[in-house]
Amino acid sequence: MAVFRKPDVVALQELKSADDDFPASAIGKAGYGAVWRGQKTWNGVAILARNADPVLTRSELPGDRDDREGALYRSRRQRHHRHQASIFRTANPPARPKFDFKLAWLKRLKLHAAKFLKAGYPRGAGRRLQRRPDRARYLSDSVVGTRMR
Amino acid sequence: MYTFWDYKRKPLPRDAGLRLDHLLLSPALAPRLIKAGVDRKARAEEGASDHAPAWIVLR
Repeated sequence: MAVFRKPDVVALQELKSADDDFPASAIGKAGYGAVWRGQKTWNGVAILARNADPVLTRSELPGDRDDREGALYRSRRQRHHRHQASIFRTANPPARPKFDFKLAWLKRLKLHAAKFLKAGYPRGAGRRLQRRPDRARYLSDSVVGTRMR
Repeated sequence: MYTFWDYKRKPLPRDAGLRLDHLLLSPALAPRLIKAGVDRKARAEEGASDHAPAWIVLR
């Protein structure tokens, strides 16, 4: 991805790699510092910063002490500026109770985002959230429900 | 504008995609947005992810 435009900040999702397997040295050779949160299966997210070392400030959303997955929240401080970038991704749970977990997680995300917006920091976020698509054939697919919007 | 095209049923030529990936800016950051887009060409590459890179340029 970095080869296309040399972006300053890259948000990656679906790492499909455990923490230990994350190719940090190869990414470093390409000129990027990285923070990541791997998962063995589909999920896992990372933030890369060109010629900088991102600082991890949070790896789970507040509000659920048992939550060990689904969120990553990273920020980057450089010189006197405070740049913040976050990436969020949650699984596409096909069935309860994971579906309920995701709905609760989205609610926590909303609360947390509201707090930051109130503080007024310039802030960017990458997210991947299933939105209900317009095509009818997807409506039977349980990963995308109207409540996920 | 889409960011995702499934591996099944050759969705790219039909542009049967989904808009799954978003870049969100806070009100304080939004005025610095210059442009935004999706690199569709990356999706057409051999062995590509089913998501294409979405990008923004900030001033």
